[in-house]
Amino acid sequence: MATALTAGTAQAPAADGRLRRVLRRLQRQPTSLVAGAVILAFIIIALAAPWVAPQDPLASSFLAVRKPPSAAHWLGTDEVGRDVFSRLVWGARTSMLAGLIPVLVALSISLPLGLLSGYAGGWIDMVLMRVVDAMLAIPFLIIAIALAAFLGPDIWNAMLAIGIAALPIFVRLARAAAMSVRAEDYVEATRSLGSSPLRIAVRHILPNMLPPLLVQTSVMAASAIIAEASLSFLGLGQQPPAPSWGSMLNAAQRHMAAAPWMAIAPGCAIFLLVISLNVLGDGLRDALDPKGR
Amino acid sequence: MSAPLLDVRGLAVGFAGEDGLVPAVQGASFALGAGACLGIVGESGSGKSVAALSVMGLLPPATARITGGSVLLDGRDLLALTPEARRQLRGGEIAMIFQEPMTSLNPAFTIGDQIAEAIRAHAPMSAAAARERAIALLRQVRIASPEKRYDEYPHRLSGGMRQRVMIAIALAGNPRLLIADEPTTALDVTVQAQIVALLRDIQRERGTAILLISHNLGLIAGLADEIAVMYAGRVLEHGPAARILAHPEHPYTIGLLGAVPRAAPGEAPLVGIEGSVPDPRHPPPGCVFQPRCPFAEARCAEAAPPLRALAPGHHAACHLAPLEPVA
Repeated sequence: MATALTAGTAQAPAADGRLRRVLRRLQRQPTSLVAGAVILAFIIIALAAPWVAPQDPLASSFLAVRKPPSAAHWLGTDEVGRDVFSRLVWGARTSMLAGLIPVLVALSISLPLGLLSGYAGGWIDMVLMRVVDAMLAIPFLIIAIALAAFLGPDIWNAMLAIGIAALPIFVRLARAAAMSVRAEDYVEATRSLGSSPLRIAVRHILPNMLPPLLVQTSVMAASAIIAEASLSFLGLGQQPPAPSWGSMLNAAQRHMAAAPWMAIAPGCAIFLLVISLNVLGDGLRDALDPKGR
Repeated sequence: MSAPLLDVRGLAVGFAGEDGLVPAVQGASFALGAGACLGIVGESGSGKSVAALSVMGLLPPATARITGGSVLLDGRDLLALTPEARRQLRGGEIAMIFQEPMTSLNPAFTIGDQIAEAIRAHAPMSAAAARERAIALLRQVRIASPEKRYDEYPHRLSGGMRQRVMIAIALAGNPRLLIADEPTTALDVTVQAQIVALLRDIQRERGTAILLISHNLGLIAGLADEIAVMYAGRVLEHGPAARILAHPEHPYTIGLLGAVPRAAPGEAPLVGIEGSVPDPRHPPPGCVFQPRCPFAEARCAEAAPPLRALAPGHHAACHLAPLEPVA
């Protein structure tokens, strides 16, 4: 994630106009700024987990089982006496990755497929869209659970499964974006220069497909985090004793009445991150709207 | 004009409609010598843009059908070439500029990148060399401080500037034929004049032949050596520009000239042409212009007049031509 961040800032001066305009529009939306700050804070916490977490997230203590929040354990302890706050901090890594990896998986497969489908059209489009229709007929989480169960219980398999389950929505979007960009005058102008179809597709259509997909990326990251939590809750994601917010909830459900703090902390973290991603996605949608000022 | 650069003969193009092929161009012929400028003038729907796209080979493949005629470039029939061979010609031998400069540039790249891409598409060279050439092209289309403009994104340029960039891109492959489809329609009047002057300079300095398509006779008059008047998919009159502007023979051309606004008020009233372009699926009997023609006679509805030579190089398709001068 660190590399992704630095790459983003390094590109900023080169990608002049459009990016700067979008950032300026984002700045005028206080809610998006707050959401962005929350996401950034979570990213920093995830990256700096070893320094932020006061204790070892895996160290259990039978002297402090299911203790309520106190000075020693800010958010209490879980059923084997591990510090909930430390687990929350380390779990942020898993959850942030759970938001990032499936989206990358979905994007890297759906961009070429959507481009092919939307630009080439014809029978390729027909076949791809029927497959997508079939996948869309099954609920997102069901596909993710089925795939994760098939691949075996492991956090990376879960992320891969979530990414594949998210594919149909992304392929649809990428196709729609490719079709609308294909009809732009500058594509016709490029064709009048004798550019090859491949060159038109990769150089002129692909970059202009990204804005609508960017919005979906942020919303999808939120869904993926929830999906990871769900899979971990079902035991198909993060495997004990490693922490993730979903697996913490899973453990907490048996102690809801006696130790509600075990559920409240990861629940709030998921809620905060997901709502921030959704708000940022909405803000991006407005900022990227060419009709806005 | 012994061997014209571009020779379009009897071109016929139709579009697939719900009830069969709708003819858009019906037997249009025109020719353009090397380094010359031919203006095709006509109303919306007269088939002039379709004729231009046929020359480019950019008709929408799903719906358009070329049903007859030939498009000769240096005597070679373009319609017989493979799609790949036609693609090679585009941007190299033939380039095109479009009506909408605001949307004809890719917003994701700098204008310099886009010009350099067009240069390298036809003459492989290093990025640095392409940059040099792109800057030279920007200078040639009269863009001030081209080194600075090179790295600008399209949205920072005005419509006139973007059209200049489009012209630079079109010139990147050193085309011998430049097709300009309504190149000034989307621009301010003052900018229009600048673009016309630029196109004239390009024609003179580089010897690029220009096929200028417009509904604006004033624009055509300022640039074209030859004029072809199109109506309902046919060429009704063609000849040297000076001759056609001074002695139009076809009533439609006369009507078009009467509909050009002039700066001096009261000089001549602005006259429109009554009615509208006929439905191409149900053309009127006889001459296509006869239902709207103020001079129409009985014979006009009976037979379509052929293009007849009236003076050297001047042809018109009208039973009444040549018109007698009226006092």
